[in-house]
Amino acid sequence: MLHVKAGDAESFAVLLGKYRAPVVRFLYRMVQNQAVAEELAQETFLRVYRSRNAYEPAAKFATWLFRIASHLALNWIRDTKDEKGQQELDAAAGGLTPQIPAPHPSAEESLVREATLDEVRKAVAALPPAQRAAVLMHKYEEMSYSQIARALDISESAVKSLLFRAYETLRARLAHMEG
Amino acid sequence: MGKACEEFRELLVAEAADRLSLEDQARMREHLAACLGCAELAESQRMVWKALDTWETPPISPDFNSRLIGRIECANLGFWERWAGRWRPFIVHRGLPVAAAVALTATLLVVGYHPARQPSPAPNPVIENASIGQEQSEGVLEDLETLRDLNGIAPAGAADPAM
Repeated sequence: MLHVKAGDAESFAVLLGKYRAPVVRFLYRMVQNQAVAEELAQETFLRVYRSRNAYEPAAKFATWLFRIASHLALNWIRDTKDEKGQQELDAAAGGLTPQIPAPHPSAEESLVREATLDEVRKAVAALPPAQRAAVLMHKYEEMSYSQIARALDISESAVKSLLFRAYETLRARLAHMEG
Repeated sequence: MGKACEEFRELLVAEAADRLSLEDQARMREHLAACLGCAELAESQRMVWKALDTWETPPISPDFNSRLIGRIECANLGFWERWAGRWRPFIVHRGLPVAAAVALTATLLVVGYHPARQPSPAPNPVIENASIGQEQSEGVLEDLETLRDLNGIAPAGAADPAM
């Protein structure tokens, strides 16, 4: 990122190559719509590019990146919460993004897998946005409590509280399922 | 749930994610062997983790990078360049012809009107013709008077006394 700050365009391409997939994945699971996720991811990297002159290496770049991404996602969720009903329908129908099937599954395995996936999507979508963001960063991006705290601009104890409540809710909804 | 259980509550998630240190793993195993409640909780957390693992994400659009580069290039334009780009079709197809017409009109107004170079009033052909006719009439009258005078000096048939 310091090379990008110095005007090195190739370094920005390297950053994009490394972080594009994690950012899009995180945003997709946050908003559960691939088109919106890519749009928010583009806005994230655009803001990174615009802010390159102000970047200070005080924090890890990934933390800063996810801070921007989670901020955009939370704003989008807040601004579109009235359309939540439609989002739930999309989530129930699998949205416009079909799940990648397991290799050579039997019909029964496919049905079980789809049912599990549907339950998982609904359970995560039902979490409050802040808990959702914390769980997604913790589970899928394997970020530490301190990194999540910086990304969400909250204390570490607040992160632990968010994760505790989120996993408690998810256990109530998903623990009966076989993986 | 006892105090020891509260202590291990925080470690449950890490245990399900295999993120415990070796020392904490040993402590957790020891506690779970002795506490049925925590053991059930740990098992349910593992099921949640396994369920979350099934959620894969779709592939990213092939044109993601090119769209982003386009947005960055647009962001690199200055304010006036962005403004001109937005209004360019209007300016080219309508604005330029209108501006050209306005400029031409203004030029004609400036060049065509100048107080010091006001032309002399055009001669009135009616008045001129009238003055010419009058002069001619006066000349004819004088000629007639001259002829009358000449007729009066020399009566008809009279000899010239000088001769």
